Amino acid sequence: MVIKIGQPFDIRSSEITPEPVYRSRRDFMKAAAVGAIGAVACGPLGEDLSAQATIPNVKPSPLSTNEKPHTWEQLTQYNNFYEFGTNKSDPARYAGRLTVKPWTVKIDGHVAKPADYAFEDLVKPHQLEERIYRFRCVEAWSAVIPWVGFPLADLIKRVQPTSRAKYVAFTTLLRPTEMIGQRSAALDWPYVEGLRMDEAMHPLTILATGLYGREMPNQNGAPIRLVVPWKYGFKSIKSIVRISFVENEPPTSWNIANAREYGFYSNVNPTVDHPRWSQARENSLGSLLKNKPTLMFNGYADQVAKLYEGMDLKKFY
Amino acid sequence: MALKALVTLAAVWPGADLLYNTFWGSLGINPLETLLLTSGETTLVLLLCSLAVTPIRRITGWNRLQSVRRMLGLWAFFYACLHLAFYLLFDRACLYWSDCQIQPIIDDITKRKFIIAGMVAFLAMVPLALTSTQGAIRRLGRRWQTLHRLAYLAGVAGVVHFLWKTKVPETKPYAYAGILVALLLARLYFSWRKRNQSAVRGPRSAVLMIVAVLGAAACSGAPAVWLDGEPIGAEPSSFVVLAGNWTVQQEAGAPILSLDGSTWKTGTAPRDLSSKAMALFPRSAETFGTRVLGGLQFAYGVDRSVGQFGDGEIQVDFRLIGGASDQFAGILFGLNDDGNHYAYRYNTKDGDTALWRVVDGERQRIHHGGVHVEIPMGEWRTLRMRVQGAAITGWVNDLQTLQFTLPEAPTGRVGLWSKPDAVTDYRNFKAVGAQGL
Repeated sequence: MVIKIGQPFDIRSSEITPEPVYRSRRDFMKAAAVGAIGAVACGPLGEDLSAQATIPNVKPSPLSTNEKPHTWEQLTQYNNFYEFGTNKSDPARYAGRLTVKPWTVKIDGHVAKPADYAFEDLVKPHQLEERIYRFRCVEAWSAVIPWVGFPLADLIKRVQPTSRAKYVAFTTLLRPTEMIGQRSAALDWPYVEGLRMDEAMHPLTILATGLYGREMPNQNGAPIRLVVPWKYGFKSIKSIVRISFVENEPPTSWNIANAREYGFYSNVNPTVDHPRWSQARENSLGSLLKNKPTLMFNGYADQVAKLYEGMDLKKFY
Repeated sequence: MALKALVTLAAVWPGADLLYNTFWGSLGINPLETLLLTSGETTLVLLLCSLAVTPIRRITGWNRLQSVRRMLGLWAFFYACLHLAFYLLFDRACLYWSDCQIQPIIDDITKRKFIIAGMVAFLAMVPLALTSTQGAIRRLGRRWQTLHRLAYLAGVAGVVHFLWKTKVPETKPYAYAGILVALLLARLYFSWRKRNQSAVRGPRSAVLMIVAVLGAAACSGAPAVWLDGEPIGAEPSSFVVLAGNWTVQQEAGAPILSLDGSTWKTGTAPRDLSSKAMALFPRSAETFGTRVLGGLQFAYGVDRSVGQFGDGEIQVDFRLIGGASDQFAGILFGLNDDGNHYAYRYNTKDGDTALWRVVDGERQRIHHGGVHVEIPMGEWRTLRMRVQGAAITGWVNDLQTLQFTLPEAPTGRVGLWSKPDAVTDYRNFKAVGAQGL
């Protein structure tokens, strides 16, 4: 099948932050956080960055934002990953015990090459890129994250879905022995997510295997996770073990938990409020104020708005 | 007092911790969330603590706990104010006027039920905080207690606010909900027991009343006389003696009750304690008996015909005869099955009236009336007091000598109370409930 996607690349290459630059920025921010009295969020220094191995041969991407990424510590010490508990600090505390090597991803459904892929075999054929994306949580906080990954579209092309494949369904690992949050029924385990085929094929949609040029920390969804930057964070499913190509809209975990609050699409949309809070503004992690205006499709409207042309986004929230 | 200091410290701690972390920039990765969660949860915990005071006090008999209830409530309100301020200043970004948008706030408090619940809890706490002063307690009288049941509304709305805030069922809000339900059940149980006790007592006193009225009608048509028909020279049966030597005497053809402190040794156990305890508190006779034995430092007895006494007037004529260290007369009120009680007394040493509380056998002075009254030995006077909610007014004859509001409305049995060495005569004891006034 052929999927055509328009790509208005409005970000000039001069705006992209090269890796050494953001790294030195990060060091600067770390130093500033330690030194500055009144800096609001510096907390205890988290896991050492060097604990994660560097990923070689990562190329920058014109799709990255030029906004300043949040620190390693902010991104790895404050996570929603209910498989390890419902507190934001639980993943950093408990995800260490998750075994991510070996890791197998099953690819099945309406696809020409269904198979169980070892993580390495799944990733190896693809050129890894740095993608610095805005990240907007449905809870109205946000971050800027330098992911490492490759377009999901590349994998999809590789495994050749048939014409019956209209949606892609994802499943997170179910392993309560290591994922202690799965021992309580906070959600219906395992976590499942899904995308429409055109969303999955969009160049912004990536499978991420790293953060800050290093292997993905467990608490951020190691070893491989989805990142869909124009959707609320929970759509970007973590620690994926299965990718299925299906004909009908697949069930998604938060929609199962509360259909009124979380729809299948869950596109970032400042004009459609969550039933319990406004989505018009967000607080960028580290800021005390929730005063940053939330942008339509999280600022990716130019690239993705046409996917939803003619759709009532209040109805398909 | 150590307890108050401890509670203050515990209540100040979360706020001080937030302040410290704000200053040092260690509020965590999402400082806004930390501020909102900590202030909100502290409010809820303190509110539940304040609601737990009365049940815990009733169950354990640890009455000193009462003294920290207001403090807990006010601290809860303080954190509720902080919580609301954090929401407005930071979450709604009204710290900077240019960032402040009114419509989203209106949307929040009109459309979002979890915020409405929070607002209800906050608004319920406002009148409680405003009427927490002694002056307000005095002015509102009985209505104060009714008003302060709003604390339960605040608790329920607060827990619901937390429950509705979470994205998935979490342990903490359910734990708070469980505690709240337990407290509400305890409250219901206590009020049921109270009603039940008076219901048990009801028919019995009704029978007594009929007998008394019939008896009085048969004799002379006069109203029943205190101690009428009790054998002279013996301990009366209609007046349950718990400590001291009290005997019925006769003067001018009418019975009087004489307390002889000169012949009584402090600590002497009363006769037939178990049957007396059964007569007074049938449901908790054993506990009550034990408590009586734990505190035999004062002479006191209970008028058997009066059940649970709340609002109303109590009066008795007294005549000071003597006493080794003091000449003394007193009314006992608010006696409960834990043995704790209050007393309104006059003595010659201070020359005024005062309120005392006996907790676990230990006497604590609550308030001195300060109005000086000279009462010569051997002359009859009237000691009178009125209970109105928690407000107590006291007189000697027609001179008002005391006015004070207790932390809580005293209810319980009533009688007479005296220093162990006092020698005093009493007559015409009367306790008339508010309905009878």
